[in-house]
Amino acid sequence: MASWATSVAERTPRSLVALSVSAVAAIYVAGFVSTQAADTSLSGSVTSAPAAVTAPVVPNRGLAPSVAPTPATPRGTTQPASTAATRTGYRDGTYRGTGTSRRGNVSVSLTVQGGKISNVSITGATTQYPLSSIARLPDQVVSRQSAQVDRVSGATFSAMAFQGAVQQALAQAQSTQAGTTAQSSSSGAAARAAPGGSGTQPSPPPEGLQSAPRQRSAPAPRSGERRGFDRRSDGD
Amino acid sequence: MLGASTPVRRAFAVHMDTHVSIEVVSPEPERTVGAAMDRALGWFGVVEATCSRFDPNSELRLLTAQVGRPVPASGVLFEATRFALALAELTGGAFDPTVGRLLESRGFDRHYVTGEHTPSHGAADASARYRDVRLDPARRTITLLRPLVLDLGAVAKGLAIDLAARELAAYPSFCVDAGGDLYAKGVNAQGMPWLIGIQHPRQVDALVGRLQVSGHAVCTSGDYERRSVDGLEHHLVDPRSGTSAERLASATVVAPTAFAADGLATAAFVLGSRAGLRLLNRQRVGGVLVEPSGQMHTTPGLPFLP
Repeated sequence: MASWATSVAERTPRSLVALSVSAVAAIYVAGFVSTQAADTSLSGSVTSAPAAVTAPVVPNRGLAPSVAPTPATPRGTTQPASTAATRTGYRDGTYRGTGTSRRGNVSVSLTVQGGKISNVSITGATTQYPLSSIARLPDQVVSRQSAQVDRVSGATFSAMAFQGAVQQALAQAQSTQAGTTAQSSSSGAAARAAPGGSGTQPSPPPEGLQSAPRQRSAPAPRSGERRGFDRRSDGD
Repeated sequence: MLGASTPVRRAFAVHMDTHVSIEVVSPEPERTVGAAMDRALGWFGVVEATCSRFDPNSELRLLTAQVGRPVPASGVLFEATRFALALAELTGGAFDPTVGRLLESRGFDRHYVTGEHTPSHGAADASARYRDVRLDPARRTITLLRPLVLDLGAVAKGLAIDLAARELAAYPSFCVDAGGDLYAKGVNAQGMPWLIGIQHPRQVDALVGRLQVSGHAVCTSGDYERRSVDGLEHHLVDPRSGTSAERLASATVVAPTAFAADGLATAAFVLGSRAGLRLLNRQRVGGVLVEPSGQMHTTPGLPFLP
């Protein structure tokens, strides 16, 4: 056996956590990341699957949702029944969102009553997913809220477009800008999640918080020095 | 202490066949936080382009095409492979990254973007195992001793989450969630530790419990996603038997890194409750293992809320 052939058996550390920490550090310090989309190709085989799936209205159990009242630039069409924002909940009203994924689009209608999500309906879908795989997802949104969790582990959505649609609708429900109207119906956060892309959702900070940042600035963008590096160019 | 009105900045992207979402709890201007989140999301693209078994042009697939000689590897591919081999060694092959050919033969060879079958070419040796992969850390090369197909699907997502988290290290509070595998640091917008639900493996609208998390990753392997075309088998294969692992319905691991949590969740899922718990305890990480019967096992000291 040649000397370069080091068996992992001789090098297996006792702690996988320690190995993972050093691995991440080694990669990060090597300092390359492509800020360009790795894949900009759209799927050409999206099939149509019109859907109208409605979740039952679940009575509000427990307290307000644990999701933060995030101010956000409203997108999509908004029909607020009330413009009074509760401190920790969503503004009452019905909101629409459209999510885009590599597998197609899903549109939802989301209703907030008493500061909580009371109903989520899929109003349309053009995805490669079988309808059965997304039919029960509206239930999940309402049940997560009643469980007051920030996130769910293991909840790999069968339809990421659905999640994008819900987040787009919730961004409107969380807006503190009363009486806002549609700015755009197609360029929301979910749409920014289009193939290969990434984006941020504009969220102006509320009054009173803008002038007093409580932490140091984020690291200066290093993408300039790293942009353009081929993923193989980090070689020695 | 962060107040109840601390803003949350959000970014989304689709990577690795899942929905990646980042939340940063910060009063900093959107512009500043957004740039950091974009860099963080960029890592998912890098790891995916490197480690995808479904992309014929990925570095992993190009490596697969070369047998019997050392192939220089990028940091991402080398570290992901090194970690996967260490996990294989620790589990005596219950976890094995050379399971790729087996997965292909079971129909897990379809690219999620194009929907096309993308089987690797060349005759993979069905008896190839993880010990047929050799590493040279000094030269950072990988050598396949036999024809085989690497599958880093069990660790790549966790690695990407950790790299994204590293990119956001300047922020005290954030969460990186890649389709239910996540890392949460600091506190949520209410100033509380992140509360993470664990999906019930049989009821889509139920949780098996909740975890209070700060500075930890939570990753879950379950038998309820990505089943094969016939619906009978899922993507978590026991490399020793060649069939789907059936001992558990889901395995959730809480660890300081997503890299470790992701891999250990897959390994524990294959091992079952008894050997799985032993592995998690030995590695000093937390876990929640759910059997198909619904019986649940947790490691001691877990911040678990029913």
